[in-house]
Amino acid sequence: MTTRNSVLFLTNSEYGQSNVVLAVIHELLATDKIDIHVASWPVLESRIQALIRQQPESTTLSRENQVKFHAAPGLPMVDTSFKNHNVTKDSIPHKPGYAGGARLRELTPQVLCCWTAEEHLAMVDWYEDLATKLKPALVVVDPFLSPAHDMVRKMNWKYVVLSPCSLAAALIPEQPHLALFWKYPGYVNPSYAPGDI
Amino acid sequence: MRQEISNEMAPSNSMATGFPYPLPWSKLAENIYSICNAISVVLFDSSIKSLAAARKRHGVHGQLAVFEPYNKDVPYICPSLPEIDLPMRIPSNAHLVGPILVPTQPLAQGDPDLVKWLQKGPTVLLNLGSLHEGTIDQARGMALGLRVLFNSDPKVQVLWKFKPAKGSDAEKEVEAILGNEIKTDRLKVSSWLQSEPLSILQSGLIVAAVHHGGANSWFEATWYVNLFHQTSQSDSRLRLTLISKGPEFHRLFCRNGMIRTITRVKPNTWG
Repeated sequence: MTTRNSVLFLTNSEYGQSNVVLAVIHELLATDKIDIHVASWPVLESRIQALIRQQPESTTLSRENQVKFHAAPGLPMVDTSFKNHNVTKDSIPHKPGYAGGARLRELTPQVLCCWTAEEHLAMVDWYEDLATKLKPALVVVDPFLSPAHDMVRKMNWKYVVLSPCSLAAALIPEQPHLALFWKYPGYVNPSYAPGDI
Repeated sequence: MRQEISNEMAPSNSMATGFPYPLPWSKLAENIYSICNAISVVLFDSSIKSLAAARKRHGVHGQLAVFEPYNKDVPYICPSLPEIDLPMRIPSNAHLVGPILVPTQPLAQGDPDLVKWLQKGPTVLLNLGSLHEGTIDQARGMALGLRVLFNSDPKVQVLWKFKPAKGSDAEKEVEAILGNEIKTDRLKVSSWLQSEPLSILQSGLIVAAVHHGGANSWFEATWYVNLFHQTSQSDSRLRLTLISKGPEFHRLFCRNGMIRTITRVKPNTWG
């Protein structure tokens, strides 16, 4: 049997982050041409299994091989923020503008850099081992999963960022004439979030 | 339906200034302050700096991806479209492809009783996302806002997914204000919806979607609802904006849980 190309999704498991991943996996299952691997946390595994059960049987792969799930170490982003930094659901809303400045300074690293250095680097190493083993033709990366970005850049792996959000937060700083300061309302860089945060 | 898009309609999240687009000149100083504040966190926060040092020692170079969201050599894919997003120059590696959705079971198959109820009158879907747990003040504010909505239209119905904060009397507060609407089945409020919100929106039977501004909810409402609401979670105010297909708007403000005002304004007068 010819070895097919494979794609590796590196994603957070919060619904807001992973809905787009599920949608793309659904399409890839329909084409039945690519091996699909997902590295994430348990709640996404259950959703993928439910998705597979709804699909017609593949002509080439048994149901359990249609998507190979790899359990990532540690915890996903939101749970890690809660664990490591005492962030709670109530503590995230903050005042706008000047009034919110102090809270934003506190909140930014707690949410966007929620993993400790040890956890972060352990994830980089784990992703590196996984990619080395699987040799995917393409890696698809969650925009908020920094350790995954670190791995693909370090290994120079071909990758794509699949985001559930608008790209405006990424593109506004690239607009000409310093428009990010005077034309567009400010965001924490890159503060678009999928609603789980 | 194309209208002037303000920042209140862009998929923003809770970590933002909450200012409108285009930025009014009156907000320029505050905007610059907020952005510089954010940049200074990246440059000077001790936990970010120690993470950067640890990464460097481990052979990982370059800025953390969350603080460097654009790289000209990497393809980006997102479910937005230029027509619904903030106006901006879009480089060729940024792909705005429109809906990226898992097909859902049609509501008529999954929940025919709900379909019958939705067909009885114009229905608003109110769902502030899985992370929202309503305190008693928030419950009171939203219930009072809905009170005004119910008073203004004898046919309107509301489907409200509401998870009260643990140990709070938020549910009792809702019943105290909207008990009659619950009894007469104009309001369905519960902590769990049997059907996926996406499936409910795709039925085409929702006239307005009130949500917390998270990207998924924002896009789903944009694709499937011609009349739509949006909340802004960027501060302690809960702002509900109803946009009608017709020439008028109803605007409900809840500041610190209390209703401020209802106004009718002409289209495109975003404040």
